[in-house]
Amino acid sequence: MSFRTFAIGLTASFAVAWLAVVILPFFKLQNPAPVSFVEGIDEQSGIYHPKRSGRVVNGYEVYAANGCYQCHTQVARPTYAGNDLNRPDLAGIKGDFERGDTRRESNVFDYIGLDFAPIGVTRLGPDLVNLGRRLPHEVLKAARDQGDDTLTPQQAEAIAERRLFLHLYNPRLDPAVAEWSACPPHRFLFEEQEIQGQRSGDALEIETGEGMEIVPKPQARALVSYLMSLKHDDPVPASMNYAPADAGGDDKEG
Amino acid sequence: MQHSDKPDLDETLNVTSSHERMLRDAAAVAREKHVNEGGSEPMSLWIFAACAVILLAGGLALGNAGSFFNYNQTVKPDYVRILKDAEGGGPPPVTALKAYMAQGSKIYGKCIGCHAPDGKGGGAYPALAGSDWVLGDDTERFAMVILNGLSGPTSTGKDFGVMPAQGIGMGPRDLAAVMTYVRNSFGNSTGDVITEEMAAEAIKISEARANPGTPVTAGELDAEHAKPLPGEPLDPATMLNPVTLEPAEE
Repeated sequence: MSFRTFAIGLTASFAVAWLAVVILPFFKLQNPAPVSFVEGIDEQSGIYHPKRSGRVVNGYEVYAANGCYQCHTQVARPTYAGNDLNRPDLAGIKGDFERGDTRRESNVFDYIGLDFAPIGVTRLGPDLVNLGRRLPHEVLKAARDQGDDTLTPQQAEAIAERRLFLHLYNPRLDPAVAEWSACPPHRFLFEEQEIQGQRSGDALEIETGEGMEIVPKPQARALVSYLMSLKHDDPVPASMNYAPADAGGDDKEG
Repeated sequence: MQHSDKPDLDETLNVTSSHERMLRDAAAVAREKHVNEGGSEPMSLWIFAACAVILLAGGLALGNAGSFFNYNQTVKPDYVRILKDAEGGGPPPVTALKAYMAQGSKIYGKCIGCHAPDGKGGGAYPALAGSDWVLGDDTERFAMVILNGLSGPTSTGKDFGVMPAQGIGMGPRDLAAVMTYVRNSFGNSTGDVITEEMAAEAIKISEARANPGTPVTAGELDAEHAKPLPGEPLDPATMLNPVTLEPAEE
């Protein structure tokens, strides 16, 4: 065997593997074939096209630029691959006040429109695939446990957003995770400005200099907007719905 | 004389003959030990065997995954989700009154355009707050007006024109929900629940009218529909699943 043969063989082994495992799936998953609901079986009709609201692409760029995917995952695995679906709050809400059990696996369309799927590398921090539902649900549940039935879902979302801003500024100030969080603070996403007249609506509740307040910069706003848009618990067509056939009446999917 | 520890060095120091002897020995070694041109050696058979084992193991793993290299499949074939606590899933149960009213308030969104969010109508449209036809035990009247619309004067005697029928595409659950909602909001507080069963009866009665599809009139309502809807009454304090409106299992 000559060196030329060896070099060709080495290149070919790596190149074929790289093409098959990286390049081909990447281009195939960029434009997945749309899946449509079936009239008689699904409650809805038309193409399955989950809509996102908020500055999803801008926020995703901030998310990727800050390396959030290193510690936070955004994927709910099937039950043979992990325990994600058995947890009450990861892949959907087990006891959503309005819609029942909304847990489902992640699918390709959850990441449509983004450059790369932010599936994540490790799960050092909580999974974020349904953050836009989980946080308001926690707020609502806490309110109801204390007997307050008047909190609307919109108010719960606003409270959740404020909590996210606080978490980004310094996770040790977020009471829900302060004790164990290893998330780095992102103070560079906020700026300190003078209070003009009244405090800003989204100023953080932090003691700072005399007459000064801390407000999120546009990057932080985009990031929080993206995080609150992470709501991946919508009904999916029957061809993608893996719920067991004898699902009870409160299974609202497909 | 040959030194036994230095076999190549012999007494004669005849380079040619010792060189020839060495070549003969090397050729023998090359024949016997399979040394090839350039010094490369053939691989041992054990390496092939080990690679074969590894390839078999890899192939088994890929084969057991279901499809060999299918990019369109993101889960295993024949995957069925197995939740350990699926029975415990679902929303916390609420009282029947709250459950029906919650669903009804969403359906009332259709009615806000005319009857106003506070149910008072605002002059051009009849008020649902305090209306005789809405309240009281004669729930069939109320159901008929919703399903078929109304032409002519209302219970107060004032004529507001024609109300379009709302019954098209309205199922029993929607009808029951919106009736319960209107009867318990805007200051109304009958405190009872119109069940899906009663609403289904109402739809049947509405289809069995003399001229179905046309709006009812006050005369027809008083003459034929001034009675409660048939069906078992439901204690408004029963705990239901707010999504399916079935009784919640304890």
